[in-house]
Amino acid sequence: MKEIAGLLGLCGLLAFGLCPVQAADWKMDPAGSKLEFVATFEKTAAPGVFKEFDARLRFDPDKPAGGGLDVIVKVTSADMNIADANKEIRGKDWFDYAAFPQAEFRSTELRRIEGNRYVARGTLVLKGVKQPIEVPFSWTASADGAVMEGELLLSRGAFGIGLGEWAATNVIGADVKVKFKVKLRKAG
Amino acid sequence: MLRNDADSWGAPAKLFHWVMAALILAQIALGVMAASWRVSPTKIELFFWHKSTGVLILTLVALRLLWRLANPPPELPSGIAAWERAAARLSHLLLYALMIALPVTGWIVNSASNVPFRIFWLIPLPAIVAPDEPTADLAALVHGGLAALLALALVAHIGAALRHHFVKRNTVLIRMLPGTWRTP
Repeated sequence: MKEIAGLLGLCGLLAFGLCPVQAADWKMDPAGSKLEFVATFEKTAAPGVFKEFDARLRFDPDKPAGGGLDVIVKVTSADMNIADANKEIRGKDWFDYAAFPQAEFRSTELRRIEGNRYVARGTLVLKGVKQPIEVPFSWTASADGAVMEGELLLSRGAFGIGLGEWAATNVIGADVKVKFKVKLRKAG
Repeated sequence: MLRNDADSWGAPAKLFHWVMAALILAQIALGVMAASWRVSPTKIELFFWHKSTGVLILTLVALRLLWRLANPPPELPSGIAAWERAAARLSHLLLYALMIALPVTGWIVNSASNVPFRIFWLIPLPAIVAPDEPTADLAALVHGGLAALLALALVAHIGAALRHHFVKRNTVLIRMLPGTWRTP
């Protein structure tokens, strides 16, 4: 509280332009964060994780407009804990690690749905394909930061994930659920 | 004619024998195809059917053994040498052991490789070992070896049945055929 009061005091002293009213900046705490994806094999859930990813957020829960969310996912850190699948997904028909090692989601359109539920509309670039998507999330503030959590459904075909004979969806399903829990700390 | 008697098999025992015979032959074909197919959706499908059939066989063999415990098999006809009786006993024991060991080692492969699987899309198969690649590789090797042994045991089993019928001219093969066969 003292720090905030001090900051406000400082802003009061300085010219307004030097201290724009801006939402707090947040950085991800990797230890408390998880990004999962759930594919389906023969109509049975086949979960995996992206071990490495990073999220940065400019967000004021009371004033989401004007905020922004940037997520970078190291696609090559995917792990399904199935030796054969891990070998297979690095190839051209799937994630194509060599050509597209990274995926990005950027949003500058955050809004509240209701209560602590929000949505970030933005662009996902995955395997070189740009698609507008909506990422719903809940926001839970805690003493040492906040947690944003949510899930969404992506169609793997839209991003060319599973090409050729793998494009058929009877064996490996069309939809992949993406679940995330991101622990955030105030930056700086 | 539900129960076995001294010289004939009851209908349930025959049904177990022929349904499992058909399943086991299909299962061997599925297994060989699944293992040798290049990585593709078809390979995954073949493994799906192979695994589902394997669980079905394991379930059936458990019921079959219970039925057999409650219903002693008919006796072998006279004129069978002691070594032939011993060979018959041993080969049947081996067949039952393989009908259990093959699904179980397959189950270990599936668990150790951590591939999610629901039997005929319905019932999730619980893991019996933790995910571990070396365990999966070893179990797959044992599974393949046992399958080869099963193929040999089946050749011996079918060969012996034909020998009973055509060489020794007894009722051993005939009495396992569906329907009622009058024993002379």
